[in-house]
Parts: sequence; structure tokens; C-alpha cells
Amino acid sequence: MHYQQISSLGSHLFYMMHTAAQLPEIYTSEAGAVYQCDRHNRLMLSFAGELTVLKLDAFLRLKRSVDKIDLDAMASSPDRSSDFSIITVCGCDRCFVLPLTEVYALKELLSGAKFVLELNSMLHECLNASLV
Amino acid sequence: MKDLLRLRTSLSETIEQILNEQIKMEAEASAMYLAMSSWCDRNGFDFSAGYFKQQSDEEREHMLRLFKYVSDMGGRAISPSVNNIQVEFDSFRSVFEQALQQEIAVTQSFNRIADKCQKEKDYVTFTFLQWFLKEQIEEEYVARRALELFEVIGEEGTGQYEIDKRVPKIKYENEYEG
Repeated sequence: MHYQQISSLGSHLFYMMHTAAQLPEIYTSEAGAVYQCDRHNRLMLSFAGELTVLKLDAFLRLKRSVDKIDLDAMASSPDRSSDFSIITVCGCDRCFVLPLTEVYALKELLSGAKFVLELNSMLHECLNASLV
Repeated sequence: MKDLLRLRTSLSETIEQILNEQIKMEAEASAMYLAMSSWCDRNGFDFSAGYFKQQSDEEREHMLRLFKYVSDMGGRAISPSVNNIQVEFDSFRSVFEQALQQEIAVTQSFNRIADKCQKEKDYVTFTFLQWFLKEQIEEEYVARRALELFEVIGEEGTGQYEIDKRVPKIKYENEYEG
């Protein structure tokens, strides 16, 4: 994905637009995608038509927050306040207000991205080990 | 593609989490010892009150050691919340029984962490834990010896007073003297 393409998704990348380098795509689902910017050590979450730039810490916090949401309770509760979940985390300037289906989609997207981050970490370790 | 996870911290998420759980456990142990000190104080067991106060300080120091390690490794050390600490105890003896049970729980917890470190191949944290595992030998020894005083001296007559006096004198000899 090119910066020019991403820039149309949000204003956060304005400061990075001086280069047209490609961003590695970490994980994609029907609901969105997560990219990694090696230049700034940031992750970019493209979800529900908006792009959010996150430090790794904030990404992990967001994942923990989303994982904590009880989807079964949301689905079974007749209370109107259970129709949506509000997700805000420190280090992320976006407030997610999501219905059940989108919470599920975000959960799946973040889990997939986290898995690939861990896989990348393992690959780095294997490559380092092969050099010894 | 850069390894952002490893750049952030040398600790895996699992190890960071269990170390933070241990930080909380040490904080709770410190608070519990302080509660025991308070109980002993208001029931006239002056020496034991001082002993438990000292134990409380030691547990807090353990907590800070763990806290520093997590921070030093680039992890997120969490200052724990400590709630619902027991205030009353059934008897002088039950205080010491509970103290021993607490130390056993701490030892078991460190064993589980060491086991987890080996499974995750985190030998840096495993080495760091050695100090705590060794420390638990002394902690359990002292707690067990204190409880044994109730059998050796007996609580009748001035027994409790004698036990109280003996408690702070219990010392663990690290080296074998032949």
C-alpha cells in the first residue's frame, strides 16, 4: 500500500507523506487492515473507513480492551446500552463506538495482526540464531 | 519488517503479565504482614509486632525489585491496588499459621514463574528469579520455625509471652556449620 493511498483514509499520515515508500501489510480482513511503518515504528489500523496511527503500546492496549468485551453478554442483553461498545484507550485519539458485528470484526483484525507481529518476532529470532 | 515487539521490550507479554501479578502478590503480602503487626500490637505481642513490621518491609522491597526489573526490561510495571486486607485474626497462633501459608503460596508462585520462563526460553528472567527462589528458603524456614515455637514452648502460663520474645530471634543460617 502506498502512502498516497493511505493519506486519503485519514489525516494522521500527513507528516509521513514526504516519501512514497511501501508499508508492509501485517494483516488484512474484510473489515480492514493493519500496516506497519518501520520508519516511525508505528502501526496503522485501517478500520471502518478511518485510519488510526498507533504506537505498539497503544495497539496492545486497544487489543486488550477489545478482547475484554463480552460479546455473548452484548448479544444476549436486551438493554439498549448493550447495542454498542465504546472503546477508548490511552495513546489512541480515536474513540470507537461499535455495534456487536464491528466489535467482532475489530477483535478478529487485531488478533490477526498481533499473531503476525509475534510470528515476525519469532522469524527474527530464528534468523539471528542461524547466524550464530 | 522491523520486530516492533522485541524493540519495545525484552519481556514477552505473558512474562510481563505474570511478573505484574507477582508484584501484586508481594504488595498484598506486605499489607497482610502489616495487618498482622497491627493485630499483635493491640493484643500485647510487642516483639511479634516488630517482627511482622519488618516482614512487611521485606515484602515491599521484593515488590520493588520485581517492579524495577519489569521497568528496566522495557516492560510496563503496574503499581498494584491492594484491597480487603484482613484486620482480625482468631488467635496468636493463627497469625503465624497464616504467615506460613502466605510464604508457601509465594514460593509456589515463584516456582510457577520459573517454570513459565523455562517454557518461554526466557533465561534472563529465569536468572533474575534465582534471588527470590533462594530468599524463599529463608522466608519459609523462619515462618515454620516461628510456628513450631507454639509446640516447643506451649501457650500455657507465660508461654505466649515466651513465644513472643523468641520470634524476632529466629535466624536462618545460610551456611552449613559442621
